[in-house]
Amino acid sequence: MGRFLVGLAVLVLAIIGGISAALFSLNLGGPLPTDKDVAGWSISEAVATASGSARSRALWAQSAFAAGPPSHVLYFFRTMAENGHTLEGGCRYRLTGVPPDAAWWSLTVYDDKLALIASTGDRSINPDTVRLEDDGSFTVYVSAVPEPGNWLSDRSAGEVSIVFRVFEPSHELVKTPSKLMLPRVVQSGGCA
Amino acid sequence: MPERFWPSMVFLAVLLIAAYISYQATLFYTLTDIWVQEEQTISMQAGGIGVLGRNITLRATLADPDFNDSACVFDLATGPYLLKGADESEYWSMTVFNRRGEAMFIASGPDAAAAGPYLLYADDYPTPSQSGGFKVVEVPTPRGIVVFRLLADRTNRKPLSDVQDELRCEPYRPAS
Repeated sequence: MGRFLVGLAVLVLAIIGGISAALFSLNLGGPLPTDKDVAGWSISEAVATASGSARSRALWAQSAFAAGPPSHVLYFFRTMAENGHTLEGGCRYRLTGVPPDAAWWSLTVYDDKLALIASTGDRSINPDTVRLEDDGSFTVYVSAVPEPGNWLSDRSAGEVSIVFRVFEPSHELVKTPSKLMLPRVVQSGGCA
Repeated sequence: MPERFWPSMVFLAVLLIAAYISYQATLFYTLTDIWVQEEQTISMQAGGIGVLGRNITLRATLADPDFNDSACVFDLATGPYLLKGADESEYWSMTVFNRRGEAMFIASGPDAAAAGPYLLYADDYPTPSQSGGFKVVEVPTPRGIVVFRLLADRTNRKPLSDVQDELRCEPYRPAS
């Protein structure tokens, strides 16, 4: 009887351990779970699909409720510049790229809690707001102070993330997201 | 090998399985709970189940400043629903989610044909006696959320309220 009770107690502890581990893993914070790296950007290919793990789906539901599946929206996250350093609020970065083959796209900057950063300028660079060069490419500056041309604010304490959303990507991009020409992210100045 | 080696191993395996199952069950419970809570929030903002709420604030830390959301909670146990998207020449989307956050159906523009109208009904529930003029969408669950996303900046676009007037998410009532 004594051994049975000890066994039962250990079993209950194992169950409590599983529950605690799950709750802990949902409260760790940090970036949203992604499963693939493409040219320095991270992407999750299991958003809003049954193929994603329960943890991944719960974290996405917590932080990006009702995000669409990759067949309709690709979410690319960037947390490091090309020099390998973490993107820091207040530092100046230059993004260069070309508009993707998609119905809509946007570049947005978030703080370390994935909240939008308050700005006196555009809060996203998208087909409506982007100013293109003669060759069809764009350059976006991310910095703490307003700049002429395409500018996004990163005036925030701590680390920041850049999110590149691509809505209704072409079938080729859905099948092979790595074929997308993703913007380069280069640190191009100091930090405020 | 000690006589109690295998019973101990079996017990250890039981413990690991129990911990794993409780881990996964908690994650699934949390996932479903987030969606159920959001159903309540949306139906409260909209004025009930089967009512389309405009300018809904969805739970989102990764907020997308480009889009305005409308949403409704559906309950197909009471019958099919009528869905209609926007007649927009630019990007918009209408996504049907189940309670686990899986997108079960998506229509998106710019494609006027994508606007529907659609007749949404669930497996194992009565199907409409007539579906003429509708695109029929069958989903495996009776309960969930429909989210409509429209571009928020309406400069050089049709006013937002005019486009919102075109959206439909409501119980289907066939003309008698």
